[in-house]
Amino acid sequence: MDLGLYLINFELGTLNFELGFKTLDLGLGTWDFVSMLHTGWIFDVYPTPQGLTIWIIDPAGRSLNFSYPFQPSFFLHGTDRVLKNAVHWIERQHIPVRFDVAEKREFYTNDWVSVVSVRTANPLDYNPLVQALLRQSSVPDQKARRSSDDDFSEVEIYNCDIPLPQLFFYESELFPLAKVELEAGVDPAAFPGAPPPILGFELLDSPRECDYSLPPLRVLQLKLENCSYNPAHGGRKNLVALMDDREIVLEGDRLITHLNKLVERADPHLVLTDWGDSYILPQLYRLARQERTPLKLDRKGEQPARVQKERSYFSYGRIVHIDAIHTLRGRWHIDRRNSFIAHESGLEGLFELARLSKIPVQRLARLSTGTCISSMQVEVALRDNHLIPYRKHVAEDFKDGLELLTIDKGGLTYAPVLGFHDQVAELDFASMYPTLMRDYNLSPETINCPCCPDAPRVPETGYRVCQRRRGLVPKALDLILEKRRLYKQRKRAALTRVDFEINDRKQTALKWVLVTCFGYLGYKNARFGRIEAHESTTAYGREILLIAKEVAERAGYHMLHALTDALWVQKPGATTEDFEQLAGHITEQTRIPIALEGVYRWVAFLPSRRDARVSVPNRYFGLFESGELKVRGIELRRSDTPMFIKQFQARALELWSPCRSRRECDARVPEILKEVETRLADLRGGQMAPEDLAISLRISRDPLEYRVASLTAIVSQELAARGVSLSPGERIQCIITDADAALPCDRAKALAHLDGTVTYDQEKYEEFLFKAAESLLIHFGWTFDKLKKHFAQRALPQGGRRIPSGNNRSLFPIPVPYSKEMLLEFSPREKQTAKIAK
Amino acid sequence: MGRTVITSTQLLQKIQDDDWSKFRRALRQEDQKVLDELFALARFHTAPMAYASTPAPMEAVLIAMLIEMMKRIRRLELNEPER
Repeated sequence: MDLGLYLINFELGTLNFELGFKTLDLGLGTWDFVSMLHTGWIFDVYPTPQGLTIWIIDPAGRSLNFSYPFQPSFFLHGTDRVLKNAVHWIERQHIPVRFDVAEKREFYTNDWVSVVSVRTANPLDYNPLVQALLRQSSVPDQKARRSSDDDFSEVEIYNCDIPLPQLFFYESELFPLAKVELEAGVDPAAFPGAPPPILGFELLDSPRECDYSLPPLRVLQLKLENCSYNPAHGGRKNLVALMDDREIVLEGDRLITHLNKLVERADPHLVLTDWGDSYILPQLYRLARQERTPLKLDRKGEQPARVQKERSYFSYGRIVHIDAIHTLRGRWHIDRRNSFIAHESGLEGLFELARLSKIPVQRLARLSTGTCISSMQVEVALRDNHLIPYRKHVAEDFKDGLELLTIDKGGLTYAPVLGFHDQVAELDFASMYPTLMRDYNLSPETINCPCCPDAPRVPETGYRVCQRRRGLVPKALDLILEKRRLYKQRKRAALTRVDFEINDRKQTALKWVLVTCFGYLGYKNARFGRIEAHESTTAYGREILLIAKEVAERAGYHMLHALTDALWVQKPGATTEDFEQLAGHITEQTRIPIALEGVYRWVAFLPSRRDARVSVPNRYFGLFESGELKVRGIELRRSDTPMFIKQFQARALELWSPCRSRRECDARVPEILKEVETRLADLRGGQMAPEDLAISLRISRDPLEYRVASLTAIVSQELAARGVSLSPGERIQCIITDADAALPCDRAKALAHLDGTVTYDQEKYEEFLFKAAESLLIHFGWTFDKLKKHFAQRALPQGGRRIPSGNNRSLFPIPVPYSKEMLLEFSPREKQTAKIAK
Repeated sequence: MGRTVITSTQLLQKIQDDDWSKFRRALRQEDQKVLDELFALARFHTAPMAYASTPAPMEAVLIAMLIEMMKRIRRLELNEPER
C-alpha cells in the first residue's frame, strides 16, 4: 500500500473514512485513534530527547519524518557493594533513569550472569552519562572520593559504546533502506512541533534480500568547476550544481539565497559532493553567516546536524585522513572524495553495506569497512544475549621465540618465475580467509576454549578449536559470504552492462568487508579480535595453498607463481576444461572452493625495480582469454604516477590486447616504442597540461615535522606556508619543476598554486616515461638504459635541443592569488548543458 | 607492519646487509658481484624459507642458493636455454 489512511475510531466508522483528517484538524478529541499507514524506505534515524526521529521516503519521493519512543540501556556487573555504589552515584546525577536486573551471558565463558541494566529516559542523556560513569570508575586516586562507600572502580560496564541508531536497528530488526509499512498516529498535542509518533510497523524487507528496491532518490550534485585537487589547498573556482541533466553555475552576491531556491525547487534527498566535507559545506555555512541568510540544506535547522572533526589514523601500515564530517538531518550529504566505501563500490555498494551493517548511510559513507564487520558482530552478540565488553581484557597467550617464529607469519608469497609466459591459468580460492574462519569455526572465543581439551589441532600453531559452540565471527560471516557468492553469480550471468556493474559493485563492497574481517581478527583494538584466531586462519591458509600446489603438481602442472590464496599454473597443451578439472580436484582435496579465475593468453611476471634478477610477487600484467586485462604493481596502478604515464601504459596494453601470444606481442613492440616517442615529443615540445604531469602524494606527518627534503616535504611545506592546514594522510598534488635544484623549494610546486611562471623538469619526466616503458618491455630486452640511449640518439621533433630545466617556457597561465575568503561569490547563471557524462 | 617476526624477504636482506657486509667489502670487485648474485638467487625461495621458519635462517639461505645453482648445472648438462 502506497499511502493509506485508516481509522480505528469506531465512533466514526468506515463511512467517515475521508473525514478522518478533518475531525483531527478540528481537534475534537478523536485524534487518539486516528492513524495513517505509510509505505516507504527507512532513510535516516537519529536520537532526540523524546526518542528517535525516523525519516522515510515514500514511493512518490516524499520525505516524511516520525518520532519513535526509544530508551537505550547499558549494563553494569560487579560485586554487590560495587553495584550499589555505582547505582547510588548514577542516582545523584539528576538524570532520569530506570534500573532493572537482567540475565546476560559473559562472552568468553558463555556463562549466564546477573547484571543491572540502566535505561535512560532521554536518549541524549545516554552518552554523557556513560562517559561520566567511565571517568568516575577509572579515577585512580582513592582519596579523591569522599569515602570508600563511593568507590566503584571495579564495576564492569557492558554494551555502553554502541551508537544509538545502530542499537535501535539491532533491537527493532529494521535497517537503513529497509522497506517498511508504518502505522503513524496523528497526535498534535503530545509534543507540539514533534513529528507524528509511530504506533507500529511491518518490515517488508530483509537484509538477506539481493533484489531489493531502492527509494526514488533525487540527487543534487555540488562541486567546483574543473577541480582535480582538494580546493582547500587553494585556487578559486566556481560552484556548480548538477540536478538531473542540468548544470547550474552559481556565482554572485546572493549565492546562498540562490542555492536555497534551488534546493527548495529540486528538494533533493541526497546532496552528493566532491570535497564537500573539506571545503564546500564549511564554506557555504560560512558564507551563510556572512550573508545573514540561513542555508536550507538541513531540514531541521540552520546548522548541519553534526560536524565531526577531521582525523588521521593508521590503517594497514599507512596513515589515512578523513576530512571533517558534515552530515545533515532529513537529507544525506555524501562526499565522494571523503568516502572509502563509495569510492570503491559506488552508492550501490554503500547501500548494500548500510543494509547489512545497520549503520545509517551518511555515517557509513565516512567509515571504514572494518566498522561494518564490527557492527555485524555486535548484532550477533546481542542476539545471543552476550555482554559486549567496553574494553577487551584478553591478553595474548604466552609464546616462546620458536613458537612465534613458526606462527607469526602471513600467507605464503612465492617469487614468480620471471618471464613473459603463454597460456597460464590463474586459480583463486574465493574469499579464502573468511571461508576458513567460517568452516573451521575460527573466532576469538572458540580458540583454546576450556570445554574441548581433545579437539583436533590447528596445523603449525597446535591450538584447539571449540567443537560445541559456533563462534561469533563465523556466524557474522555466513550472510556476507553467501551474498557475495550470489552477487558474483549474478554478475557473471548479467545480460546488460548496468546489471553487471551493479552486481559487481555490491560484491566489491562485500569483498572489502571480508578483507577487513580477517584483519580485525588480529587487531588488538578490535572488539572481537584475538591474535590466536588470526594466526590459526593464516596457518590453515598456508596448509590449503600447499595442498593445492601438491594436487596441481601431481597432475603434471608447473607452478609459476602462488600468492596466499591464488595459484598460477602452466602445462603444455592444457585446455580450459583441464584447468577447470584441476580446480575441481583441488576443491575436493581441500574442501575449500577454488575457481578458475581465467586462462591468460600471455602474462608477464616482472622483476623488482631495484634488481632485475630478483622476482617480486606483486608486479605482473596479463591478458585473459576473455579479453580482460589484469594489471598489478606497475606504474598504471600506482596513485603517485603522473596521468600521461598512466595513459601511455594503458595505450601500450591496448596495443597488445589483440595479441594471442608472446610472439605476437613481440611483433608489436615497435608500435609501443612509437608511443614512447610521441609522448617524448610532447614533453620536449612543452605540450603537457599541468594535470597530465601532476603527481599525487600522501603526506604522512605534519608538514613541519619532515626532516628530509623529500618531494612530499617540499610541497606540503609550500602549502603550509600559504596558510593551508594539512593533516597526516591527506593527499596533495604537485609538479616536479627542477629535481636537482639546489634550493628544495625550487624542486617541486603545488598544483593548486601554479602562477604561470612555473616550468616542469623535462628530464625527470622523461625518466618516468622510460621507467614505465621498461616495466612493459623488459622481457623483450628494452631496459631503462637501452631506452634512454635509443631515444637520446633519435632526431628530436621540431629540431630543437632539450630545453635546460629551470629555463623552460611558461606553462600554466592560471594567475590566481590565493584567498579562501574570495572563493564563493556568484549570481545565478543557469545554463543548459548537454547530458553530463557520469 | 605490526609484526613481531620479520618476513623472510626482510630477513634475507638483513643477512645480506648486516651479517655479510664486511665479508663483501673485502672481496674483490668481481667476486662481490657473484656474492650479490647468490643472494639474488636465494630470494627466489623466500616462501619455503618462511614456511619452514628454521631457527638458523642462514642454512635455508645456503640451501636455496644451492638449489638454484644445481638447476643451472642441470641446464648446462642438458644444454637447455636459461628459462
